[in-house]
Amino acid sequence: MKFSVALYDLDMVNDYLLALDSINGQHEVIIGFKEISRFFSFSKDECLSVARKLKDKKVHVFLQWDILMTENTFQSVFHGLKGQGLLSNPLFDGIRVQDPGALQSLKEINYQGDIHFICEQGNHNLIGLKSWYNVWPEKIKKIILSPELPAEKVLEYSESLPCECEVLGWGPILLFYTPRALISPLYGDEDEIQVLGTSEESPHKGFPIRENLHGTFMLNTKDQFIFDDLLLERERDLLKDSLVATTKLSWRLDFIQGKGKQTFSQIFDVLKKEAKTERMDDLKVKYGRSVTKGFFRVNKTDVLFKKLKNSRLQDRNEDYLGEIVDVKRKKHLGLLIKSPLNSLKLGDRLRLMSPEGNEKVLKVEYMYDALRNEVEEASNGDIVFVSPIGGISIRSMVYLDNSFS
Amino acid sequence: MTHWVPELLAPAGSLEKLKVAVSYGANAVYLGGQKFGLRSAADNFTPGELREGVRFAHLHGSHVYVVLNSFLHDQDFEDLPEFLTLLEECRVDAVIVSDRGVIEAIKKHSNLVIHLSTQASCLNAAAAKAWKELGVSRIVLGREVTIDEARKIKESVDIELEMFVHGSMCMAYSGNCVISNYTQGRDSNRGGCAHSCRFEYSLSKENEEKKYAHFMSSKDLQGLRQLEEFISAGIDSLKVEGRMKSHHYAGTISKVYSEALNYYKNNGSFLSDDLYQWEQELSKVGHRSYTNASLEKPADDESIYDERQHKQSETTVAAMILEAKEGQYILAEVRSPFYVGDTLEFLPFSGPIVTTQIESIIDASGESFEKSRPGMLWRLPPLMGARPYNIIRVYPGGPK
Repeated sequence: MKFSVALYDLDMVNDYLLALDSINGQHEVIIGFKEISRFFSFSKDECLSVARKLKDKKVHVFLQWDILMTENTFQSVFHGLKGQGLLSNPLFDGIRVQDPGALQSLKEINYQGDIHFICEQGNHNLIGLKSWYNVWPEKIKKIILSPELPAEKVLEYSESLPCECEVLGWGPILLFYTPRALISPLYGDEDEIQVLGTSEESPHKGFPIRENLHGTFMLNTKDQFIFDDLLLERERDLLKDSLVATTKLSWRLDFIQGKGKQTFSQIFDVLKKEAKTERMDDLKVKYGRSVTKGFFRVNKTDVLFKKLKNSRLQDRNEDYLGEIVDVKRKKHLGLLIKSPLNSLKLGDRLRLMSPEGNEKVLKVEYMYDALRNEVEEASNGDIVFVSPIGGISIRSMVYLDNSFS
Repeated sequence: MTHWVPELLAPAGSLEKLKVAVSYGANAVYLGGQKFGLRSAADNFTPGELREGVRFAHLHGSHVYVVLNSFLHDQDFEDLPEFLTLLEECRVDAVIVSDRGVIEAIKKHSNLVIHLSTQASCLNAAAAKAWKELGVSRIVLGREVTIDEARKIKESVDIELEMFVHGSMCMAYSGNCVISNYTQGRDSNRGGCAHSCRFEYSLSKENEEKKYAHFMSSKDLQGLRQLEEFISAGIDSLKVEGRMKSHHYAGTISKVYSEALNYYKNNGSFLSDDLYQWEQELSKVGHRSYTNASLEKPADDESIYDERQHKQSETTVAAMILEAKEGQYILAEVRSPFYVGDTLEFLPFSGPIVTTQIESIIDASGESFEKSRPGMLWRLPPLMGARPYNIIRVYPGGPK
């Protein structure tokens, strides 16, 4: 298995370097700095220093630029990155971007490193993913898939796309991202604020919410952890066996909120050796945060909820005439002609269908307007009054009944 | 001499709302079909309604755009070509899309004009260029983009730009919120948004007392006073949010913004005595407190709406006209109860609002009542300029 590991502070970097001996060379590291990354706290200089340290150990290092930016900020940041040589610095093997504008700009300057394109939000079909890849096939070496994809889709996409894929294996799930500062109005100005949010209207308690210079981020109450499902059951499941075996997929370890009281050596030791249940359980206990498999087993959120609209009111065929807009018991039915195609004449037969499902047939023996003037023909936009019939209410659909013609 | 103004694009949650919006001056409407949109709870249009809606809009010189802005899963693509064929047959003017895969499918199976939905959060010129290269002809910019930034995008990329001018707003970058997915099992990017951002939350920070707040809820956008900046920036279309909102909303917002834009068209400025009146009208539809959000500068804490419920409409819709027989009578469908002696406001499609007192309430059969009831067909004497889909408001006893 191949891992992409995000290193958020110096302790993590040092700990990762200590674990290098116990992992093979396929791993890669993600780092970033405050101005361009959501959660990295490094300054630009610190980021470069960390990159150098990792590069000295022959680690593959990727720079994360995952902030979404409107025009003014985007121009300033992109020209800053370019001007400071960060887009040509050999310390970075490549860059990870989410904004299509960032991808476009890198293409325009013929960026020389690898590009890892983040397709985590709303990219749930192969046609779209292939289209993103085709923006720059020579340089897009990896597509970061949505954490909402179930296992079979992760495997399908990683096998079908010409580049490598990555999926969140372990780490917080981002639920919400806004550039607006939502916490500081309540807590005062601080560079970074973290709170836990709970709503009586949601069954879930304690959403971690962070505000920093880029805006406000809400994380899920439980972090994604799919390795027990993936590793412990793989020998009974061909799909999981394939997921572990494929070389076209990497698993991201994203410890935004720390990795708990355990070292990377311990973590890799368990994940590499497909450990027994108790060792896997121990990883989660030491992590110290609740975990979930998310949608890795199944994603049913795509079941569109049933239309609230009454299906009896939806059927409009070529015989559709209009709608009942007035019901006066024993006096009349008011019919609004709504079809531009059909008109109503004396002697026509009507089929009426109420919202409750009552169906009635009515022959138009007479009709008149609101001043009781007799009418012989009515067309689109007219309201005419015809003889009353039981079981028909306002909003009943009216059709010409041609079955007797 | 007339001056250039942008298109006014209004929501059409149903066929009736489409007719209301177009009649009150919207140059274009956007609507959803039975599939692939983000408003599963809206009425949405059956194929027959879609045909009729397009016919009506085109007859009045307005355009119709159909939203296909759901993020699709692989299996959804099976039904898409058939739906695209229907849209082409209906002669819709464009489709609004957020998913790159859907854009590819549209290009493959149809010649439909493609607008990029705000759900794709296009925020800068480089992104606009990328979408243009894919075949998109118009971009609905993310709500985080200021008008000044939009101007720069317009200057950099030869593409139509659309911006929101009015209505409710997502607090998150559109397309980047999945709260409903994980908390309610409903995909917010496929029509299942549970509006979790409108909930009240208790917030706890280490060693500090809990605070209760609707901290994620945004005020509603209102950009009436920014119209001149939109025009100066060359923004092609101004969009009003709200397919789920009422006929009253569709009519009032369309009337106010179209009258303001027409004023500019004829005068080259918004220095109108009606400006205050237009703002008053906008306050009469249900809304949260208004903000101009990020239109002038990035939205700050003033844009947060710390309340749960909408402010209720200050006015009640009494009825909507269904038929107007010139010189004879008007038939209106009663929407709210009112009494003889109450004061009515009749909203013509253009021009000043007409105020009158109710002298009698007569139904379609000629029977008189002291009080109307919702659903009854109310017969009124003829009123100058009255047309089907005109809205009538009521003030109990007299105007407030």
